[in-house]
Amino acid sequence: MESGDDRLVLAILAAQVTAVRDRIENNETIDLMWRTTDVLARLASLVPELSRRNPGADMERQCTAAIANMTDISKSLDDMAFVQAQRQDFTRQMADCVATALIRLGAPAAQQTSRFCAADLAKLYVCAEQREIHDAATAAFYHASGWSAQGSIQPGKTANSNGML
Amino acid sequence: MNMTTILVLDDSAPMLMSLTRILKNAGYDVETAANGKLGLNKLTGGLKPSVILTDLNMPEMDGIEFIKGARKSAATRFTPIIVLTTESSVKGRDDARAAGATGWLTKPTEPAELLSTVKRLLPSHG
Repeated sequence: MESGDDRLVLAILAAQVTAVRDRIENNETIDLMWRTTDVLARLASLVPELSRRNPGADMERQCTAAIANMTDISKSLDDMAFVQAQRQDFTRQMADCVATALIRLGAPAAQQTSRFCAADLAKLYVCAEQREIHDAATAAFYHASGWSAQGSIQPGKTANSNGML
Repeated sequence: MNMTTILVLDDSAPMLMSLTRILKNAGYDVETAANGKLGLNKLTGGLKPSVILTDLNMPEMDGIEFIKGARKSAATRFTPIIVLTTESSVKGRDDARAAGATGWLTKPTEPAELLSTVKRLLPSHG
């Protein structure tokens, strides 16, 4: 069992990782992308007015090109924000798992009903990558310790294909 | 303009917002919920989405329990349910299928793939 001081360190680490997780969740990059997209949409809606007030073939051509560019950039930004939000969510969940484990490890002895082990940690995983890291770390640990490796948590087969079930 | 309603469940606020934007830009009406319990509340409150898009790992009630709950209701027994999740294990997929999910998308996915999956599962498709 960890000593009281070890548990304090674990509790502090849990708080640190929780702060990192919250920072990931509140990343402003995606919000900035959406705001930029909204501004571009507003500007694109104003461009036809510019063309109406300054009639002419050249102005019309420039306005049409500007609207097409803004629409294209807006769509790309929205798509990028979508992919970024998913990556952010993925990272947040990994950080959340570490924070949860540290909270349980750092809980005062009186609150611990049983020892938190690697198998308990594995139950917190939400993606194959976490299980792969777990297995690699376990193998490295046993190798360094000179012990024979225990069973893999078996991330199982990864189903990469999207589509119908 | 296609005003088909899609119910989206995810506990991540940026994910909910991002999915809403992508789907609304494609012409869909979007309802959101931050977990399975809130999603079921919307369904029992009378919402009849044409497609449901749900995350698996959510607090209060996860995606699997939500799908099971949705399948118990006559109104959503046959509504297409797409799982959008970081989970990529075969077991995860099997659990989702057993609960009644129709489709599966692993994060990160591209907007085009999301939209084509939604379109394919819409009752009017084909």
